[in-house]
Amino acid sequence: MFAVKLENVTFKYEGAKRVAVENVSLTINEGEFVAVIGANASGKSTLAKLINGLIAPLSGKVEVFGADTSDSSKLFEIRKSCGIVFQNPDNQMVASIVEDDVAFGPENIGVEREEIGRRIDFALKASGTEAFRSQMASRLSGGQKQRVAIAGVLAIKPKILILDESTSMLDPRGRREVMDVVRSLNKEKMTVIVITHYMDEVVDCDRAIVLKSGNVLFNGTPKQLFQSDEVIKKAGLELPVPTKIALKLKENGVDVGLPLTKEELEERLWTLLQKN
Amino acid sequence: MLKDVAFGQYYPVESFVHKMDPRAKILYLIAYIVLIFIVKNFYGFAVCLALLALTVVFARVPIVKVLKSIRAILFIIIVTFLINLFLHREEQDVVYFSWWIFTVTRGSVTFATFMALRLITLVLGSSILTLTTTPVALTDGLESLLSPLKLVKFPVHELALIMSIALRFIPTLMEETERIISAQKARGADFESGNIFSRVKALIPILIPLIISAFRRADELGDAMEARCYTGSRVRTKYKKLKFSVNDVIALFFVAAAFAGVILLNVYAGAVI
Ligand SMILES: Nc1ncnc2c1ncn2[C@@H]1O[C@H](COP(=O)(O)OP(=O)(O)OP(=O)(O)O)[C@@H](O)[C@H]1O
Ligand SMILES: [Mg+2]
Repeated sequence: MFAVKLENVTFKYEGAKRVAVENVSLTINEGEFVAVIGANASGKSTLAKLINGLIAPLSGKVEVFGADTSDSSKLFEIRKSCGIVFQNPDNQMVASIVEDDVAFGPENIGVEREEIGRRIDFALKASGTEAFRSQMASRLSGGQKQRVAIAGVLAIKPKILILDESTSMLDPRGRREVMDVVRSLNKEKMTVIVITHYMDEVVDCDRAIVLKSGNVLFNGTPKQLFQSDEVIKKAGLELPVPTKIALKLKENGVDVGLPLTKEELEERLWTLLQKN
Repeated sequence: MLKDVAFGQYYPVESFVHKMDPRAKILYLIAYIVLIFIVKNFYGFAVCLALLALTVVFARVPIVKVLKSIRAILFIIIVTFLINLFLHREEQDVVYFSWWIFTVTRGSVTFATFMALRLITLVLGSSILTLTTTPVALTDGLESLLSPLKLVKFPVHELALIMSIALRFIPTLMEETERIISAQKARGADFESGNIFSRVKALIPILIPLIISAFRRADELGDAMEARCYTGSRVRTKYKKLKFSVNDVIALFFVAAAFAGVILLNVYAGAVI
């Protein structure tokens, strides 16, 4: 069974002129780390809301572990198995104190008191926020708040975690903190869908899906994506800096292949230097 | 500057008062407010102040944090003090000063001082509640105290959640207000000069962006709550169980003692008000 399966999904917001997502079909396997990337208004957030059942498709079908999101009797189960962390950490916390906010999700699904305590322990640990347990969320930094927001979702024990541009309001350090947490969750078998417009967050994903005006423009490995100039140009994306440098070098007759990270580029340059 | 408003700013330490049940704290606060309105002389007031001081000590909250709460209503206190001072009249009074409709008498000095003291101690007492009780505990306490109203279909749970969210967003919106003010100032907006009308008008460029952003936040918060499985109170459980403890009983003893003291002093020490 697929973790997520979309079949010819189309969605249009009420009053909008054009469709936000058009005839999209894709599947995501359990345990996969998928990046969804695309320019502004390409339909990324709409896709996330469709998967979690916050909105139902106009036509087509969205399934989460086989449960149809258009079936309102399954919605509760779907939301339990699929959590979303949104862009602005300030707008997804309901309680002032970290611990109380993390408890909100488990309380909603009717978890017993002692078990809520254990889940808070687990979620705070997994997101590296134990130290803030009884602090005011408003006193934390952006990266810390966003990790608390992740904890709030983890406490529900979802099998799928969607991050909708959850690092876009953070500084580089905050971004790194959050992505480290997400990667370690994926290692523990969590299915992760990262929505982003940073190409470097795509680098160590299993798969990249590129959206453009509500359509899937590309669906393949990051390596394939970075080699496809056409897709990158069409989707209005920007290559990671090391890749750009490598391409410039190639233009000038120095072939170092297609490194995606700084380390990779360094290594290739190093071997090249040693050869000569 | 706006962030310093003490209301709703929980002060996280472990103390006797922090450990008390929020329902007990709310009820004792109500009792204390009743007390400062029935007290009739300064001796009785000393008893109220002693109770207040004792609570501050046992709450382990820095006294400046408590005193800061007065700032928010300082203006109101001064205005009511002056009105009472100049306009309050009593029969057979010693007149200290008189001009046009303004008179200051012995009675008006006492009365004005008394009313100002009442307001100040009222605010100080309330601020101890918010300083020592997390917003969730506070709203849980209210929800529990108001739960009989569920019988008449009053949406107690929803009301409590609304309060908790409102408290949660106070610092966020304060920060945002400050940001908007600096942004408008950078564009040459002037909030400090002109008469009262032009000053009120100058607030519009602050309020409009603030309201728009509040709506956007509310929209996103709604999505986030739904994504976190919020459906109302149907299957909801509660993480924090409210439980009265020995602390509440000890505190009750002090509250009752203060009550007895004030009533006795009202009867035997005469009334100045
Ligand atoms: N609530 C809404 N009502 C009407 N139209 C909407 C709404 N939300 C999004 N849209 C429209 O749907 C389209 C897709 O929007 P969506 O938010 O999914 O894009 P996105 O890829 O997430 O963009 P961004 O990078 O800015 O977050 C856009 O044309 C947008 O204007
Ligand atoms: Mg978006």
